[in-house]
Amino acid sequence: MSGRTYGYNGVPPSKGKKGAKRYAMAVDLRRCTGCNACTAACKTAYDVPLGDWRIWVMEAETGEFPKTKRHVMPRMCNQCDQPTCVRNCPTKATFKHPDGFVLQRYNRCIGCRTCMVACPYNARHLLTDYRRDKRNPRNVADKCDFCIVRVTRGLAPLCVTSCTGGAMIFGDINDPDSEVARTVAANKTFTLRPEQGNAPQVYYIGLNEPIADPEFAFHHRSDQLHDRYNTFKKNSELGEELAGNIIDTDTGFFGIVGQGVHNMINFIATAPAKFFRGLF
Amino acid sequence: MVDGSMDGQMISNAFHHAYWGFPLSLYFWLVGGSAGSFVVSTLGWVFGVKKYKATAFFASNTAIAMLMIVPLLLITDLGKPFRFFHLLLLPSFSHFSAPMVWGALFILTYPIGMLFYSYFVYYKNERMARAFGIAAIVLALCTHWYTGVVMQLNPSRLPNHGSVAPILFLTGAYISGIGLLNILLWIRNKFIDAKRQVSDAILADMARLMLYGIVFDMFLLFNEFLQMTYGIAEEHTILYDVLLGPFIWPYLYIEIIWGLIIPLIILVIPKINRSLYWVLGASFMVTTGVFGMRVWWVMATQYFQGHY
Amino acid sequence: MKINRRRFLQGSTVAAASVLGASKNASAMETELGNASYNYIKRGEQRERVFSCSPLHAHDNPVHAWVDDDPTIPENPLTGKRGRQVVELSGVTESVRSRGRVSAAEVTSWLQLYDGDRLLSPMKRVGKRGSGRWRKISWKEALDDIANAIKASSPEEIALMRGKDTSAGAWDHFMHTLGSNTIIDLDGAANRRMAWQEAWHNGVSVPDLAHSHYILNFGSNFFVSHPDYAAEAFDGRHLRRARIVTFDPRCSKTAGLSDEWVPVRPGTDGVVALAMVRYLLEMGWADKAAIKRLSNFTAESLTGELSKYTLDYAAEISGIPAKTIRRIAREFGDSEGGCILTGAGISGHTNGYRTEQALMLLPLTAGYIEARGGNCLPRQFELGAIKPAPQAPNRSNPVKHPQKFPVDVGDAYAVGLLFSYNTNPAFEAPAAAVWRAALADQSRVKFSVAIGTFGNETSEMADLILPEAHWLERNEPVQGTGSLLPWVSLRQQVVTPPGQVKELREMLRDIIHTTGDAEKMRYWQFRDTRQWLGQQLNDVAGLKKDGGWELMARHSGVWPIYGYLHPEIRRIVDEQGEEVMPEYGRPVKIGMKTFPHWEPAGDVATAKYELALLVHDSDYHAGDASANNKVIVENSLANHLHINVSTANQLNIRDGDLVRVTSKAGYLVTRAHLTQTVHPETVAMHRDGGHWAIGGVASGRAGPKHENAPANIDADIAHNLWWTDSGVHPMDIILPLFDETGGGAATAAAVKVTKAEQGDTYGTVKTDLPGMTALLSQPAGPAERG
Ligand SMILES: Nc1nc2c(c(=O)[nH]1)N[C@H]1C(S)=C(S)[C@@H](COP(=O)(O)OP(=O)(O)OC[C@H]3O[C@@H](n4cnc5c(=O)[nH]c(N)nc54)[C@H](O)[C@@H]3O)O[C@H]1N2
Ligand SMILES: Nc1nc2c(c(=O)[nH]1)N[C@H]1C(S)=C(S)[C@@H](COP(=O)(O)OP(=O)(O)OC[C@H]3O[C@@H](n4cnc5c(=O)[nH]c(N)nc54)[C@H](O)[C@@H]3O)O[C@H]1N2
Ligand code: SF4
Ligand code: SF4
Ligand code: SF4
Ligand code: SF4
Ligand SMILES: [Mo]
Repeated sequence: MSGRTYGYNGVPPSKGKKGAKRYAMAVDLRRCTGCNACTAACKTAYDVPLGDWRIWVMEAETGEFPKTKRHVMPRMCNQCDQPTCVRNCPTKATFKHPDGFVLQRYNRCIGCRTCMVACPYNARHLLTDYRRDKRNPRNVADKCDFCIVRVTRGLAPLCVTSCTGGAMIFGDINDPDSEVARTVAANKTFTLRPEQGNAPQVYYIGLNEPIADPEFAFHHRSDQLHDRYNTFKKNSELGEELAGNIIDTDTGFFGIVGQGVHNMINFIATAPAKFFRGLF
Repeated sequence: MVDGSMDGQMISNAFHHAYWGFPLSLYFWLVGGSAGSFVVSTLGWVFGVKKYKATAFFASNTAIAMLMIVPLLLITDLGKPFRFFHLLLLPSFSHFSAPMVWGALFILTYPIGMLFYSYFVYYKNERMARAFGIAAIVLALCTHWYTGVVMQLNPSRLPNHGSVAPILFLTGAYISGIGLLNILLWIRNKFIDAKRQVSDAILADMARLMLYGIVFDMFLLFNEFLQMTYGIAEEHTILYDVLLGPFIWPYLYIEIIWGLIIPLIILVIPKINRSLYWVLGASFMVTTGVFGMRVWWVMATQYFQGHY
Repeated sequence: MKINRRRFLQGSTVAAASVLGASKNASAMETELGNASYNYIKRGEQRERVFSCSPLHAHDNPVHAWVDDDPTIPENPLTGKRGRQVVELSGVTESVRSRGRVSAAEVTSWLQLYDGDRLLSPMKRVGKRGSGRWRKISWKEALDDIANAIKASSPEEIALMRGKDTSAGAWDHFMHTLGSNTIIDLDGAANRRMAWQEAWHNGVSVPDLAHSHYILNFGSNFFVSHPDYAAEAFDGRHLRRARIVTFDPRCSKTAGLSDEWVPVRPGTDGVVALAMVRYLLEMGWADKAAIKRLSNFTAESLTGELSKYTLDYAAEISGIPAKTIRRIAREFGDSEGGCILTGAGISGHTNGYRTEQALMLLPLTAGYIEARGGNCLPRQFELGAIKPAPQAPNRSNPVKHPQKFPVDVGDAYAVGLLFSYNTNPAFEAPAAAVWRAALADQSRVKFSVAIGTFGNETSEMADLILPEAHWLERNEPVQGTGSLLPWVSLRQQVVTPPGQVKELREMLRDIIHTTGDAEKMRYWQFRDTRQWLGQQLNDVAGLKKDGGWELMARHSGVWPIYGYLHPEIRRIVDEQGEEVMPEYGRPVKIGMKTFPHWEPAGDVATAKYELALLVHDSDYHAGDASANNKVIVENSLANHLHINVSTANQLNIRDGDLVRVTSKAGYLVTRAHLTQTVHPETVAMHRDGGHWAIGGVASGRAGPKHENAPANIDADIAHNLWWTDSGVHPMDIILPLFDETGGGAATAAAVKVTKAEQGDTYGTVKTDLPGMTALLSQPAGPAERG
């Protein structure tokens, strides 16, 4: 291989610990059909509650008729090498595995959500009290774990194996012969929000700037998406408990105060139940 | 949102929750009020400004009372409230790179320091009160400073991610603490005998202390504003589309206009700045204004990033 | 393509790494691309695997069902039992159909096994048809009722209405046993099937997408509607730089992610194709020898027919600039092998049949028929017949025009007993309200039995509903489709069905046995469905020699095993690491009864101020089979009306406005979604909105924020379901118009779009029933099928 090019961002892949593996993912967006098989596979296999995602597909339409294009981009935890979520977690409930995974220890997590505020990628969620399978952890933070249970047994992550377009390439980027290392070396790759300094380990090929840009995501929400988000905030039980979801169609003086009062009442009303369920 | 000139629209995305909401805003406000009250309390006993000695005991107890509510809020807000003790399992569980852990230490020790301080103030033990006062005031500042740091150390959360953040936070604490204390002292005056009442003059003096804080707060805010008008696109968005958009009430109207500018005007006009009701009015505005700040401070950037 | 037993045996046990050892390629993913699953709740123990095959898409897909048999697992809410439960699905890596991949609808479909809205026992109507009130009854009562209805009807009065036939011949066996061939095949792509059937005696063409250099897609959203084709096309794009060009009035997901989107006016693809063919001939780029060899045409005869189809003519009709048509024609003709793909967007217009045939001329003229990268005949193994087989009745199917059922039933043919299976015309058919009226009419449909895992809007109109096993609970052989390397597979009973649920084959057997007619019972003597499945598979040529179906059922779920999934190029390779290639060059002779001259599509012929409303499949749904699936519904946006920004501006409609969409059939009220992704003369909705009879998730009535939400046994649904908008039912305002030659229904209509009027509420649908019935009653054309 000739000189490595690390792509547009100029961020060289991190090697992590010497001698350890560094699992990473390359997502070739030129091969992504936007089919959401990844989302659906992950969501059902890991019993990810409605309203939460370990992986999701962002989708945008750009350009004016007839020069219209679509852009899709699966998003997930970047298994950052400098994970701010880990740095800010007070209990070490989330930690960086030497092989690169950023993982959760559910029985340690107190559900303080500091990690979520610290993550620049919106990659984390708080599990609700209600899951399909009651044995799964509840009321603690969760995120994509790069399918560690599969990977440590020699099996690729579920989203990767399901992927219609074969867009996801997974492996040890420290092994120069691995497909992921060669793919990252041979292509112009991008990581998301490199300026955050998190050293993300999900490398995108063919990234379209609009969709990778939080600005765009914010300013160009379709009306329907915007509506859905507000509906989600209104209807989510978890949101009521945590009381932090501003419904932005109602942000005048009375709106803000009303939301605050409503949320605090809910917060107090659900407090007793929360204390006891916290025991388990 | 969509017009002929649009260059595209996002049609699908995840909806992850805003993680911290009103309860935490309230926590930030209370913990700030507590620290502010306590600073006033120590003016007499620690810094030797005699006239404030009368307020010390009450101010300290107010601070303690507020700090009693605070952990309840914090703990109730956890996904697993009963696991709050994980924060305290030193050192096996704790993770010292996380400001939350520092905070746990402060929140734990700070009320203890204040309790001792109150005790010695009550028994007029000058030396011990001073010693514990100093310890507690350091802890008070730390408690507040850490709270600011918790917000500061989130790289994507503009404008909190800056070194002004903790100082801005402390300043807000200081002024809201005084404001709140003024109101509480005035209410207290209604219920106690004339001898123990705090004079209007002292309340006005405290308002003067508050005024310095207001000026400093505005100075910091202006700095932050300046930076946000420059900076990268995201800072523009936060400023114009978030703070002056959905958060315009807590940010511009409640914090800046109601909570800083109007009180500032009141407190600089010589005719009224020592008259009781103007002072109380300004105090009320400042405290509630700071609550507005706590609301946008906690939620605005989460709101923004929730769409990414 | 010689398959030997050794390879079959080694199939899934040889690790990918050993393939790599043999090949020159460098190592790839050190993790395998499938074939295992681990119970992450219990220390990552290996899960039990059972092979099955998903029927959800146009082409079935072999899968592994992963089963946990774990005493700590919460009890199955439907059976109250602990123990074996399906907890994950993944694709079979050796399958040439999917190479280990699964679609969103497939991978989530096991949730349906434990869905609280499932049918668990036979149900009998109480009250009027369609009133939605039911009473649970025993199988005995149900079977007796059906047996009585059979006795009361003459054989040809016993009718079957079905969608995709997933029964591997069981239904035909059943109908023939009863002496009937009254079959109403509601096949959405009927025009395509008829067009190809007539032209080359096979209703299908398989595009060799992976080896193509130029893919011309007309009216298919195949990136999401045909995941196997999508995977192949992306391989073509990746490995051969194939260019994908999509003609669609809508910038569908496929169009928007293609190399080029050509926004054609609806119903005009045919004229574009003819102009391209004419241009290729004119420039001398046509493969004259191939035309002669592969069809009854000659270059000269084609040129003669095509004289009027100049580029400018096509441009004027289709709205595509002449130079774009010319360039694409040239690129296509110049490529080292290209193919066409056609979808419901072609078939779903009244000129669908002709358009399909016109499009066929493209690969023919370029010489891409039965060639690498071109359009090929399907390769399939024949499944064995169910034996002994009853005689098929020797009259022809009295259903001349399946889409005209609502007027023909009780008139052109009588129905004493109607079975409906795997179809939902009361919701999905054009002028669905007319269907509902016909199905509700007891004088025309005397007795009606619906069979399904879930209820739907059609079973709502039945007298009796029979609870059928989910596809993961039944035994059925599967004939592989869609691939140039033929294959067979099977569905197996992975877990036992809950409640009173039965497999289709068992139900049909029990019905026959309840009639007590020994002559009929003779054809229904099987111990269990598995035995029956085995009989059919063992007759597949070559399988027995290779170890037999039982080995396949245990070992790979598919047969033959052509090789292994190469972990890097992700194609099936042999032991040398070389890709297993199809064989090309089967004899073909394309002939058309009449030359497919273009004529306008009646359904989208718009007058002034009118727009063409296209109703298309939703991106993530697999028909209605996923309508009650929480994950799929959460990901699909409600079917608001997509309207071009400039059109909306003219109509003074803003994003999110409530709008009225009015056709001759009636109107509906929905919201406008302003976008640049539809042709300005066109508006679009997907069809998976506004269900009312499938279940709480489909109808949007489940979840914590809904009053009187039906109790749902999935705590996630009961507490976390957050959306409220489940769309609007579009099919009542689609006019009942058909391609009279192909028999397929149009799925589009000319409409007016206006701002909603006072009193309009979101979701309102109003239809003109008498008007539509009258329209349907017009004399049937030449369509004749069956
Ligand atoms: N996800 C998903 N997959 C499915 C199904 C499903 O419901 N959901 N259903 C299955 C079934 S039964 C079938 S038949 C297939 C159908 O699958 P497809 O053939 O892919 O059908 P649609 O997805 O409806 O896409 C049809 C496209 O044609 C466009 N169109 C409409 N009119 C015209 C026209 O005149 N010219 C051109 N060029 N384009 C036009 C529409 O805008 C739309 O984008 O999919 C199968 N797969
Ligand atoms: N506007 C518009 N209309 C269309 C189309 C379009 O693109 N646009 N597409 C047309 C096309 S291509 C088609 S194929 C038709 C599809 O229309 P339908 O033939 O009605 O097919 P589905 O919508 O898939 O609904 C099939 C029913 O079968 C049930 N089902 C699923 N699996 C099984 C099973 O194993 N056993 C039994 N008994 N039932 C099962 C499902 O729950 C569902 O209720 O719609 C046509 N209508
Ligand atoms: S993406 Fe977020 S959650 Fe994942 S490792 Fe990085 S900071 Fe942590
Ligand atoms: S929610 Fe859990 S993982 Fe996240 S910071 Fe708090 S304790 Fe750590
Ligand atoms: S790696 Fe595993 S956990 Fe992460 S998104 Fe993919 S399937 Fe989900
Ligand atoms: S499964 Fe693959 S092709 Fe489909 S959306 Fe996910 S990444 Fe894209
Ligand atoms: Mo179809």
